[in-house]
Amino acid sequence: MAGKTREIRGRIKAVSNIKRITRTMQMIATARFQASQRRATATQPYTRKIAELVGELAKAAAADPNANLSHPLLRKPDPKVGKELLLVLTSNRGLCGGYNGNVLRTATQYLNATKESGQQVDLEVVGRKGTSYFKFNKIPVTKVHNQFGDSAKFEDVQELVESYMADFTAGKYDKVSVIFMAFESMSRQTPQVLQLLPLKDPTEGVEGEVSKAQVDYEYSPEPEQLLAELLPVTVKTQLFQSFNESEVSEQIARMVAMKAATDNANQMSKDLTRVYNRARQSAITTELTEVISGAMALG
Amino acid sequence: MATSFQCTLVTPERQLVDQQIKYASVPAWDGLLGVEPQRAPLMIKLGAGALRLDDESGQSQTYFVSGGFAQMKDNKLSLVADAALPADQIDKAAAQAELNAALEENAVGEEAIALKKSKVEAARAKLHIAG
Repeated sequence: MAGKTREIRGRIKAVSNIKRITRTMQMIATARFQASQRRATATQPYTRKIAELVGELAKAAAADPNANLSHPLLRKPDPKVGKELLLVLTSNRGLCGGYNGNVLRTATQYLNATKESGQQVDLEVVGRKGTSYFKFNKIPVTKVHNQFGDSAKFEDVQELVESYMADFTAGKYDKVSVIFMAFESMSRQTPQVLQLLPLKDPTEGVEGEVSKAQVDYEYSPEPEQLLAELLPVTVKTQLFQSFNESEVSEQIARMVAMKAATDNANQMSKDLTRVYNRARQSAITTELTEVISGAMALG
Repeated sequence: MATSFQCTLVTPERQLVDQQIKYASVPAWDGLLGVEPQRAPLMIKLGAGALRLDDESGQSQTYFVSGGFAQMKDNKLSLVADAALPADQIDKAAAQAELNAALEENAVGEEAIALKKSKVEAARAKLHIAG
């Protein structure tokens, strides 16, 4: 009997040690989440302003019948080269619940669907978890990006986008997309496929609004040229935003996973303590019975 | 008649300025441009250079900005820069090193030459601001 209680005591100790670890990880994830959330909100004014400028310029360009909008980043590939590029953003570390699993499942579905439609896909991966997943499943990866670390810098993202834009304008790819965990709210993050290139035509859908009173801007250089300069910037901000959002989502996922683990450990140590007490009690009862029956046999 | 206007300066990584100012000297792509309150709407491309903002108390702040766009609308000036740095945070030695590196670059082809030129200009402007 003593053997059983000792075993249970060992388990209780193990569970409380694990609990200590998961609770610490939860607190670290919370701190990281706040930091990455701050970073993500810091980029919002820029993203908003760029979007606003593109909108204004697109309106101006749509209102001007002579304007010729044919930027290489807007070009729908014709003829198709039958190849596209997919960038998957995953995390470097595990223990973050379904975060990587969800992104990778979406990526695999997308890959299969695209391959079925006869398109070739060049796969690029950010993060160690994604890399090992594709290696395990024997899916060829064209390129692995390790330069980003835990928080992506704008310059690094910019470099990446520039190489994509160069490849796209050179006609190497029909399409460039990115899969990442989009942050919708604290309690909701969903994997999202975002098409980076070709860009959606900014003048689409503004026709109806053109009649609205327009601000008569003084432009320098011409609006079309300004728009052409702005379009690459939008691609960069889009990808940068994706990086930021996936970072925030990762920390949330880890926070939630570690919270659940800590709660579980709590419940488990409670259950184990109960089992332990019962075992101890029954051991005492058995011993007592033995002593009493021994005494009675002698008497 | 307003004697001041709102000015914001944002970069991809953060927002540096959001305050009322009296005058702004903006480095446009084709030269410096002064902006006073109630200026007509404007949309321009920025170059690399010194951005000076004079606030209502007469104090002025200088920033190094490179690339991006500026928009004036409804008495609000929005500067969307690729990169921006307050003047007192410029590392002179690093700027000098940047300039040297840019000058030594062997640029071939029209695009590379333009890139080199813009890099040299940005580094020179940075050095100039740092004094």
